[in-house]
Amino acid sequence: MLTRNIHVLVVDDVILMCDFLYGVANQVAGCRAFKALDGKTAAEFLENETIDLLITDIEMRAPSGLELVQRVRSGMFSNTAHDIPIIMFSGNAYRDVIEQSIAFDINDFLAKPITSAVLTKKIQHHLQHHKAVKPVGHYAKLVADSGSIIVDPPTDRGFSVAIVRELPENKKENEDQADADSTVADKKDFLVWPEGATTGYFQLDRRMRNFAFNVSCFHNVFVGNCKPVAIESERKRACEAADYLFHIAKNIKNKEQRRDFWLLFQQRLEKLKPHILELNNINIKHHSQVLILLKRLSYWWMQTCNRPIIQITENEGEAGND
Amino acid sequence: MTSCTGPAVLDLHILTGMYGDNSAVTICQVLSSFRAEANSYIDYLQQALQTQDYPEVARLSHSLKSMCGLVGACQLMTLCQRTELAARQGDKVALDDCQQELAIVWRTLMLQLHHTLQEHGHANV
Repeated sequence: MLTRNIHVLVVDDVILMCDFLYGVANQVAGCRAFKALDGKTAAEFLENETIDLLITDIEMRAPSGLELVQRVRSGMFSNTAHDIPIIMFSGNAYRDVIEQSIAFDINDFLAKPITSAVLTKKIQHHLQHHKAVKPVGHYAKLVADSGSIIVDPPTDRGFSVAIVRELPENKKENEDQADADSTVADKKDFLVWPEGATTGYFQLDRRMRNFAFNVSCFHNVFVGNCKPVAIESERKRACEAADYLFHIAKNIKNKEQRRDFWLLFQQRLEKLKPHILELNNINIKHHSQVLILLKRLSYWWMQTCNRPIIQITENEGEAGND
Repeated sequence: MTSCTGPAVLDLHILTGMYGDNSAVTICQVLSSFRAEANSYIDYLQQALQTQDYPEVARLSHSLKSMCGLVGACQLMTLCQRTELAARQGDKVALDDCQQELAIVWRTLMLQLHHTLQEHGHANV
């Protein structure tokens, strides 16, 4: 029913290589490729399209591949999420470049030459295996510390709810966070995205899965009676995940035709908005109120993750594909 | 992964391995695109070598090396690798050698490309 809804951007300043990458990415089931011969054009695609996977060469005229990655991870682009999978490649594997790439949590680093078969497998792998990346603020700080010139992120991404406050990061918080992370590592199952489930839109699936994950983390630190700073941090992430969900839904809706689905899904999102607003504002010291809110979120999730909104594919690997 | 192992002027096995396709249409399409793009890179590279613009030499030879690796132009790829390294190290003597070799290797490759395209029925050889 739905085809080619995974947007892959390939960037290389060599036309032959760019066409090769474009051809391979376009052949992967469910993928629609965009190509850019320079960083500037790539940045325009990232700004105007909802890109789900970035494949970029490193050595290009400014902005280079690494600069593009920094901008993505720092949340500089309105339509592209900061946590998309990123594959970088180069003919030279210079240590400093690799180290910088790792700092920005790229998903893969490939050395040229790359065969179509290897690249296809890599694309499929990274679309199916989510890698948790840090919040936007972390990467923006890295960029600021490295002295790179980077434009300010857009102040208005068009979100209507859940204005998320940036908490100042410090060592203590990081320690608390590490503490919380280890606490929640084994039980992130408050909301569960069913295996092989799909809305028919890869972008939405990712956002729903992230939302479930982050709300579950919040739930776990809260019921685990972790330190307030850890709870605040998870609350912030859950609100951000909801923001992304609203944002992506709005973007896809404007471009797609499945009226029945969107009518229903929009109704579900409208019901979610007040819950997220409440989550953003609730006093975490009011234990019973937070528990009631969590129950509502759980109920909302249970109602939403059912047919006809989501379908279960026979093969998990095919979720979101043709 | 396929890679250049010998000094072949043009190894079609590498090209077909890279693209996962050994049809004449693909071979002709790729080689003619390569010929057109590489030609302009060679021109710019020779200019950069003349003016001793080392960063530009490194950049151009790096890009050219990628292209060669994709189509199996092993001899030129090896030369580009040497040129890039010499440019990054600012080794003028090595770069002079590379510059002299470049014209010969490119001419040999052009002849081979012409022959291969003709063999695969390309119209505009």
